[in-house]
Amino acid sequence: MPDFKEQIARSEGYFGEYGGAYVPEAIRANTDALAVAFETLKEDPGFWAELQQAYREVSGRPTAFTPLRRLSTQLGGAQLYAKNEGLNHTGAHKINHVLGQVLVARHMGRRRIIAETGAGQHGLATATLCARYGLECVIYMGYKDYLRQRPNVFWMEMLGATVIPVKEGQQTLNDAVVAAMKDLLTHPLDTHYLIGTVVGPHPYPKMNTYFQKIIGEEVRTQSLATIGQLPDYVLACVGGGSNAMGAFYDFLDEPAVKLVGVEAGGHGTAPGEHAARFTSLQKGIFEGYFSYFLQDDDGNIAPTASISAGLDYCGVSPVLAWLHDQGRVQFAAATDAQVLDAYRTVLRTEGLVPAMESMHAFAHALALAPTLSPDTHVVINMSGRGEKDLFIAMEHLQPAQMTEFMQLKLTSLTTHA
Amino acid sequence: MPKLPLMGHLVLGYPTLANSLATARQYADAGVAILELQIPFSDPSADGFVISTANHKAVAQGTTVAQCMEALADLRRTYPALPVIVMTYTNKVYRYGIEAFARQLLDIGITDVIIPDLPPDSLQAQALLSTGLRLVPVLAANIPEERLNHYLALQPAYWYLMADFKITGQDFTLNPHLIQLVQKLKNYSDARIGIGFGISTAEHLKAIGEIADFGIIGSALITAQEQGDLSRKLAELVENA
Repeated sequence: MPDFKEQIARSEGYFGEYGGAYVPEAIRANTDALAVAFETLKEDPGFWAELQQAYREVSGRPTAFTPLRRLSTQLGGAQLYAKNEGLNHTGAHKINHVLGQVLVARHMGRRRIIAETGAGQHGLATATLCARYGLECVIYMGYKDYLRQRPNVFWMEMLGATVIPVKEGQQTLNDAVVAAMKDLLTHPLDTHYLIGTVVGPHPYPKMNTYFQKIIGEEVRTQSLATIGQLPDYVLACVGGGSNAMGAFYDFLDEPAVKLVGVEAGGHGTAPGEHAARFTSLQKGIFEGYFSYFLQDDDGNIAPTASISAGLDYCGVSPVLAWLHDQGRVQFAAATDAQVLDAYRTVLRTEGLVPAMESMHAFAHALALAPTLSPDTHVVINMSGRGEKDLFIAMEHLQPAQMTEFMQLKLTSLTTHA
Repeated sequence: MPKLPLMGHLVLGYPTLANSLATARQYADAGVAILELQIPFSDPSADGFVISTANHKAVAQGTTVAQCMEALADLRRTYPALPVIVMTYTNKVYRYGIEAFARQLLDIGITDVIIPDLPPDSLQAQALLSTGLRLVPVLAANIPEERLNHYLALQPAYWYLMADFKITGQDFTLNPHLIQLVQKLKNYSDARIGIGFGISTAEHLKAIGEIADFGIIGSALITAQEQGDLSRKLAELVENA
C-alpha cells in the first residue's frame, strides 16, 4: 500500500531530495513563521471548517463534474469527464489556495499581500480576495504576460490591486517570481507572499497542495456517484503544478488511478521553444526550491515558450518532481498547435471553453482517448475557463476578424478622444 | 575617525571578462581592502537593477563559471595576499558541481564564498563546507536566535550584514535593530563584520563606521564605472574618513 499522502503530511519541506527552503536568510524568518503557522492551523479542525465555508460561500464549490458524452462518442474510445474548476469564482482553481493563504495570513496578522502571476488567474483571485478581506495587494506580472493577458490586468486594477509589469529578463512568470522575491526581501516583517502554485520554499509546495486537494476529493465523490467507480485516469496541465497536485493528491495512494501531467510543448523541442521540464530532467536549485529546471549547461535558467502564459515557466513543483521519480505521476506534453486544434474540437462538441492552460490537458485527452477501451474513464481537470484568453485565442483562430475589430475600436477611440 | 576599509563588488564578465579583471585590479590598486567578485547568473534574485543588469549582460555574452575560475586564478597570481571573496547563487554552484567548485577555489587560494540562497543547514551547504571552503553569512536584523546559532557554528571569517531590508543598490537606510545583531556577533565571534546594501557615499560609510569593520559597495562602483567616473569614486570612498 503506497503512503504518498502520509509522506507529504510528514514532510518538513523535503520530498525525497526535492523541495527545501533555499532563500536568503532575511526571507527565511518570514517563510519559517509561515510554516509554523500553517502546520499549527493544519491540525486545527476550526481552520478547515473556516476554509470549507469559504470554498462554498465565496467560490461556489463544489464545482461540476461533467460527462463529455459527445466528445467521447466522437473520439470512439474512453469515456471522458471534465472537472470544471472554471466554475470557481474568478474562473479557475487558483482561488482554492488563495482562500487558504488569505486565511493563514489573517491568522498571522499580515495585512500586505504580494503575488506573482502568469496568466493572471492567480493574480485575479488574489486581488479579488484582498478586496473582500480589506488587504493591501501588489501583483507582479512579466510584461509579456501583462500584454497577452490584458483583461485580467484591467480587472485586478479595478479590484484595487497595484499591478507591476516586470520588464526584466524574459518578462514572463519566472521574472514575476524573482520580482516578488525581491519585494519580500525588502518587506519581510509585514508581508505575506501569496505564491500562486506548488513551488517556492517550504511551506508553499506542501501548503498549496493541501489547499488544492479539495479538487481530487470532490472528483472522488462525484466519480463514485456518476460512474460508480474511481476514474482510470486523471489528466491535468502542469505549469508550477497547483491544479495537478489538487486533482492528483486524493488518488496518490490508489495505484489503479493513473495520473498524467501535461506540460507545455510550445512550438519546438529546442531549448527556449517549450516549457517541458520533464523532457530534459535537469535538476536545479532556484526560487527557493530544489526540483527540475529548464537551464543551460552553466546553470543559467533557460528561456521558455508557450502559447499559454500559465504554463510558460522554467521550474516545476518539487512534489511532482518526487512523484515523477517514484513512478507515481507520468508526464506528457501538448504543443501550441495541438492546443489550437483542441479549441476547434472541444468548444463545438461540448460547449466548454477551457483556459489555454487547461486546453493542454484536453489536447492530450484527444490523443489518448481513441487508444483506450470504452470502459475506461478519463477525468480531465479543467483548471480554468477561457474568457481571459479572448485576445490571444482570437489572434490565432480568427485573425482577420480580430484585425477588423481592433481597427474599428481604435478608430472609435481616437474619434471620441 | 579612522578610515573604514572597503569591500568592493563587481560582476565578472561585465562588460567583458578582461575588463572586469582590469577593474578588479583598479579596485585593489586604489586601496579596496577586500574584493567581492560575482560569478554571473541569469536570475540574481537578491540584486537590484544595476547588478542584475550587469549579470544579464555578462551571461548574455557567454561568461561561464569555468572562465571565471581562470580569471580568479589570474588575479590571484598578481595579488597573492589580497582577500578575495567569490559571490554567486546556488544553482551556478550546484550545476557546476559543488565539490569541483569548492576544490578549484581552494586550489586558487580563495577560501570564502557568498551564496545568499544557500542555507547552511542544507545538504548542498554541508557538501560545500566539508571541503574546507567557508560561507560568508548574509544576515539582516530579523534573524532569530536559533537561526543565528546555525551561522555561529560555521565559524565564518566574515559576516555580511544587510544595512536594512533591501535589494542591492536601493537607497541607503540603517535598520535601527542592526546594532543589536552586531553586538551579539561581537560577543560570540571574532570574524570581521561588513555592512552593505545601498551604501554609495562616504557619508553612508561614516554612518556605519561605528559598528562595522568594513563597508561593502557594489552598485555605486558599477554605476561609476559605467559613467567613466570610477577613479574619482574609488578615491572618494577609500578616503572616507
